[in-house]
Amino acid sequence: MMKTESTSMPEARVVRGRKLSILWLLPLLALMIGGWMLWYHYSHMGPRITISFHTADGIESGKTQVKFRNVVVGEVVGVQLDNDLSGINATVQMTAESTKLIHDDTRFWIVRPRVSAGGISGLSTLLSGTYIELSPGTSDVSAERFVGDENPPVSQPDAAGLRVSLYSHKRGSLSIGDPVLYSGFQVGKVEEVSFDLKNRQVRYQLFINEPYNQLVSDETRFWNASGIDLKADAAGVVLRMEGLETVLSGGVAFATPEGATASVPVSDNHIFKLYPDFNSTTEQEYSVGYDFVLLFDETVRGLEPGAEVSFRGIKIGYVKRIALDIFTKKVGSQKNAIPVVISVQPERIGKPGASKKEVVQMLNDAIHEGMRASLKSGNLLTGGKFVDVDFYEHEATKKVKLTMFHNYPVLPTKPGEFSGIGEQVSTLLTKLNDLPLEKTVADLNRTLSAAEKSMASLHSLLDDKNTKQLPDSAAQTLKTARKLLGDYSAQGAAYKDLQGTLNSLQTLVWQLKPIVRELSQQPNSLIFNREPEKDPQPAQGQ
Amino acid sequence: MLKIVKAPVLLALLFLTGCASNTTAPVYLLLNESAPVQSENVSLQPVSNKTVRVTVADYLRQPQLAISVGNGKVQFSDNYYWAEPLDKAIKYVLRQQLEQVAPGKLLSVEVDVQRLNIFSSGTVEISGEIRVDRGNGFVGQRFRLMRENAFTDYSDVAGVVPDMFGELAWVLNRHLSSGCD
Repeated sequence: MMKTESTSMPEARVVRGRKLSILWLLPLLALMIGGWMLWYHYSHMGPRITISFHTADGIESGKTQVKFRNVVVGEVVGVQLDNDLSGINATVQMTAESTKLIHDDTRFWIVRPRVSAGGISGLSTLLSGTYIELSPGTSDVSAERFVGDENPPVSQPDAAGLRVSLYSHKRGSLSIGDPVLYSGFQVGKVEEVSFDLKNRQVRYQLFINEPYNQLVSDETRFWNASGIDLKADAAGVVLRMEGLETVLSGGVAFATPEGATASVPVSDNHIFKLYPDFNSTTEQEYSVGYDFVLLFDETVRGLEPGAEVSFRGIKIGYVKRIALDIFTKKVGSQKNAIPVVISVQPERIGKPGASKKEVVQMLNDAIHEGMRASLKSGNLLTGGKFVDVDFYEHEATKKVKLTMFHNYPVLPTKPGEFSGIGEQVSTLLTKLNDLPLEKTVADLNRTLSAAEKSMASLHSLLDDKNTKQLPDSAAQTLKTARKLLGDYSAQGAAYKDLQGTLNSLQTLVWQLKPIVRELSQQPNSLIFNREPEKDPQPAQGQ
Repeated sequence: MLKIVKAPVLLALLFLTGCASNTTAPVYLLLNESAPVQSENVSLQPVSNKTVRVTVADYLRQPQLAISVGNGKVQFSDNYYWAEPLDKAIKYVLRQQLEQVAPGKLLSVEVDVQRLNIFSSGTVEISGEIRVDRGNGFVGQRFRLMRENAFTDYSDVAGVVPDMFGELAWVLNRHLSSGCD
């Protein structure tokens, strides 16, 4: 029988499962790591900048690096043409450490192999490839866009030294990178060459390295030291060169004139004049000069502007201009003389600060004492002339007034040495003309006629057959005699033969002696046999 | 006429010469020939720098051996002959001997052999004068060499005489080395 038993069922206890699986921690962790990596990446990433260049030659995205002191501080991550297609923009991702290098005045340039007269640079890029070098700026303003230099800066912007500017009215052979020399030693370089449109001058910026900047003062003179300075004038041929490098590539030299004691050091960007050569720097020490005119009645060939005006070898001025007016009017006793303008520098004659009136008065007094100017040859090789000023006693007696010509005071002249030579030649010719040449020539003709007859006789004598044969006969005789003497000398063949014959005769006589003795003792021994005489027997042989 | 006579006379002399006895006496050299050498042993020697001049007495200037028989009497042997004049032979001998005793020494020697007595008793005597020049003129000295019982046969004389001149060269060099004149 079935038995129903009512029992209550136990209520199931429902336990709700966990809503979030622990597995979800993994993506969360990955997300955190990813986020950290992103943070790390961006936190260590430097600024991204754009540098503009004229061309992208050598620049490659992902390869070209940016270096500072040969340490990689960035990398080119993109190269694009700019909007107006006039250049390229290189996008560079800098490193975090380079942040302090990037300022508004930071400069960039491409380093690639360069060969120039000034030297060879960037050779290492032949193997490593082109890279971008930077020079950090000092500005407080940051920037993201820069314009790169096509050429490396001649000197580092932060280099210690002095920057000065030179101006010149003519572009010489100087170019960027050319050396700046002091006593032949390179102390800096030419950084920039530009043309100042406003002043119409060529401007050069030089950088002189420390500590050589101390050599520069406000009295310093700069001159173009390019090439070879060959100067041929009345003083001779002068060759001056600063060094082989400047001969090839040019350069600037500077020096401070002797005696410039009160010179003051200069600051950056001080402006100096660039003299064309070394001689010009010294000429300019005598800034004051008063002009006079010399009227020469002789040729002035060989006299050049700049030629020396000297008093007994001491320069007192220079020739300023020649042939002011060729066909001059009569000045005093001179007509059609060649006017030459000279500049007399009072500083050279010990009269610094003297006015023109004072100098004119001084020269006027000197003229009354016999001072005259003349042309003299300074160099026979070049034919250069100079103006010599000296006192002549016989001229002192003449009364000469200081006249004017084209508003210039005229200093009296006297014929130079060449005119004097002409006079001497003329005198010589006169003396020659006075000689009794005709009589002398007639006597000479008679003498020559007699000599001609003597020569004819001599010729006939020499042409005689017997005379001609005489030397040959004499020579033949001498030759025969010489041969004969040679044969009978101690070394001669005939002598040896003769000697041998004598020896043979001696031997023959020697051998005949027994026969002669025997015949003398027994004449018939030739016919009748003779028994040889017995020798006495040796005692011990008995 | 003379030509006609000469020819028969010469023919007669030749005939008579053919009838004459032919002596075959040996001749002797003072300087003996050295033995022949093999070609590889030939050595060239420098020419002697010694000048030797020899003169001999007149009685020695003939080929026959002069035998002294006493009382100044000399008998010329019919049996022994010198092969060459004695002055030449003595010159060669003396120079050779001087080369051996004083090699390389520059000498100028003059020898006058006045007697070369070969006695039948076996004695050989050589006497004369010798003069030596060492660069400062000749200095002379008499010499006399004697060797008794030197030979038993006259043919031995050809060996004795060179030995005696060798002795003369040795004495001369000793005098020169000691500085004596």
